[in-house]
Amino acid sequence: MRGERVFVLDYDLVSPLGVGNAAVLSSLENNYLAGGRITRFPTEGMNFSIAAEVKGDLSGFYSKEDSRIQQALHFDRKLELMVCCFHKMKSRLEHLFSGIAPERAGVSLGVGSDVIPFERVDQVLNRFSDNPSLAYGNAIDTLNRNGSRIHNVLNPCDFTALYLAGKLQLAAFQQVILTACAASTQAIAMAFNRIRGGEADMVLAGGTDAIIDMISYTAFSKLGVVASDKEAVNQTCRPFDISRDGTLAGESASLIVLAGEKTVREMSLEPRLEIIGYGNTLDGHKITAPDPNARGMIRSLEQALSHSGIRPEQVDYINLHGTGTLANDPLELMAVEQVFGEYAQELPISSTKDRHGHAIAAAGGQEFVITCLCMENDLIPCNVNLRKPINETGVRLIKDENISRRLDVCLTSNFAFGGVNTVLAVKKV
Amino acid sequence: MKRKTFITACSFRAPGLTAFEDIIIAMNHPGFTAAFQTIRLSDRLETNVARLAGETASPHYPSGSKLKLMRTDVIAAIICAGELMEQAGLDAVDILDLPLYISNGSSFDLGIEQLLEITSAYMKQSAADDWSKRYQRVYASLPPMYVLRTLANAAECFVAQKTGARGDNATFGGSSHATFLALQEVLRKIESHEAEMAVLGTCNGIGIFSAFTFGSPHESGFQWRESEGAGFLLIESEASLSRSGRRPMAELAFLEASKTIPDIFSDARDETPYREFHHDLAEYCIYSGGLSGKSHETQARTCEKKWQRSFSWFHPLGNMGNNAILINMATAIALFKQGDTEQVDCVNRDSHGRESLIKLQAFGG
Repeated sequence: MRGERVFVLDYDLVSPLGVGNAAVLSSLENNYLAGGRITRFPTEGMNFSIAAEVKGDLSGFYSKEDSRIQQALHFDRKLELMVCCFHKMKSRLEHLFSGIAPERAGVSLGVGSDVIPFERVDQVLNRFSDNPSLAYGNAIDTLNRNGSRIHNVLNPCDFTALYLAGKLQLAAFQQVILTACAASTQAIAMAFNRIRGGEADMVLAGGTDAIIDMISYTAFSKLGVVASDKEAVNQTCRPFDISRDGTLAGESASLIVLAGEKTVREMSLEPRLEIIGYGNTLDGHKITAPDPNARGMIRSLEQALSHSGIRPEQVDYINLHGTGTLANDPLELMAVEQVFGEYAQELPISSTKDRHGHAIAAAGGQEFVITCLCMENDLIPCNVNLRKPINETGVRLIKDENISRRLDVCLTSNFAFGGVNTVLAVKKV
Repeated sequence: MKRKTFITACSFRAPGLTAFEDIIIAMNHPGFTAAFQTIRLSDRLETNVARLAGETASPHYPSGSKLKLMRTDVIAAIICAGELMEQAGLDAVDILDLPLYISNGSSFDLGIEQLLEITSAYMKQSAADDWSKRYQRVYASLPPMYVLRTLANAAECFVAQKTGARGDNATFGGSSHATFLALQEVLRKIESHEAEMAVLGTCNGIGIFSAFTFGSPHESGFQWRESEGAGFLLIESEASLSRSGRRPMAELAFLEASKTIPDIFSDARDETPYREFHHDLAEYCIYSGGLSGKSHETQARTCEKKWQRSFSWFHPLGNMGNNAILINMATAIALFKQGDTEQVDCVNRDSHGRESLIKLQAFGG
């Protein structure tokens, strides 16, 4: 893969681990686990009731935002998280993008599906209880009849990208990727491509998603992928542990500013890190389960190395997808063992999902930012909830304690429903 | 365009359109229209949807166990992808690393009956009811495979299974403009020499969500009309062509997109479509994207002025969502096959006013 070098200029994160880089880093250093009882909707009678929520009232971040947006984000959590992330970074973003012609700046986001949170539209729904067959439609109609193109519910899935494009004058493109758990990883990869291909000088990448509403949470638990409540609330998700029984539902929004080498030089910017390549493959196996031989995962890791022009031994750490589900975790370890051979026994690997949960379409963005934070602070986060690994000899799963060690090259991987495997390679500048 | 690129295989589905001959017949019959079914959405709104005919006889029709996880637009995508591979005669080695970029319309359109069942389960209350009982009803009414049925990348996943394509990939979403963004990714892959051929796919479901999302409730007399569909194109470099010996259906001569940033805060709509396109215009224009009758008429007037000949599927098929751009391109190919014209501009204007122009050239033209 040849073309212009692509640098990470800035990033930020709204996560169950905290709002903003400093809070997230502190949580990582202190092994904070964000899992807890769900507070966003009642959970009486539910089999599962634990999730990793972004805690606290976020309204302070966007109190000066347009009233129509403020109304909409009451119903759309993923929009709220992204608006919060934008305002957290606002002055930095405005400073960076002010030097770029709008037609040379774009936005690339991974986002999740829109779900109407019944619990938030409860009162409006009940107004139409005399005509249940049209209650759903009448509720949407009522909520959206605000004389504006900004809907309260069911905005187009690229609405967040359009919001950001309007705020920062990102005219080159506004693209949205919908590949489930790899969506924001791919959004970063596609942003990288746009810069390498010379179509843009600066791109705002990232993602947002939230699945802690009654319908989404129930749907995922019915699929059998949510961890049970058997353990303490912050120990339900145990990636790579022999006793793992599911993942931890999460939510997050992230923003990452990428720019090409020429832009960095001409604007005398200071890049923080460099994206050196990526791997991106399909399993083509089953929608419900990864390839049992991890072939797609293996090819994505191999591609990430070859596209980046690095040898396996140059990788200092991999932030794995590590969901804590029965099907996913052993295959990821199999892939690492296969690709890295003997070096896999030395190469530190971990998943941070036991700390912040699975943010689905936003998972890749969240974990990319965490990887960047770890690289800038030479920190390898351990699997906090790992007691007895499923693979004790072939790979080096970091457990018990975080490690302080210089990190020059790292990978971050996400493996999605439907068999999408995406790996990003990042290098210290 | 840094490298010459060609369309060498094409398969598509829209209501009433399964082959190039259908396109020509439909274009020549002003009375052609899909069978629209009206669904009342609320006291105030209804939607009109045109569905694809089931094609259980297709050799690419999925097997029974997988069907329960598929929406009808996904099934159409699988059939089109299977036909594409057959047309192109690709071998397993070619297919393995074949990049696959899909533009996916609303995937959240579960059957309205299912949504009503869930809503009704949520709303049903009695004096003795508590949250726990309400939740139990919702739990029971939610289909076990709800997540997978509504998965936005379901078409990509099943197409990869069916065809064996396991290379670089992404599912682009949002409005009809997503198809243009996916096409750009296809071309970038070829122009950067990372691949010599790649696949563009589209998939558009229908239902109440898209009507509420893209509808224009402020326009009086608004009637949402949308058709289901899917389509796949194989796009190759000149080098690949000389190796494969496949005969091109068309050359991708030029691509352009507007640089206007959609203003979500403004209710005003730009009523001057395609004003940013000044490149040498083709004789013929196939246009799409008018959400409502009013915006379609504005587009029609502009296209009639700007191009010598123009055509749109809006009246017979309504909005085609993410399938629109691909059907426009298939229409251009059908015209080339007829020898009707040598160059076509396929233009699209999405619900936010983002515009694209894809210039197709007849091979040898």
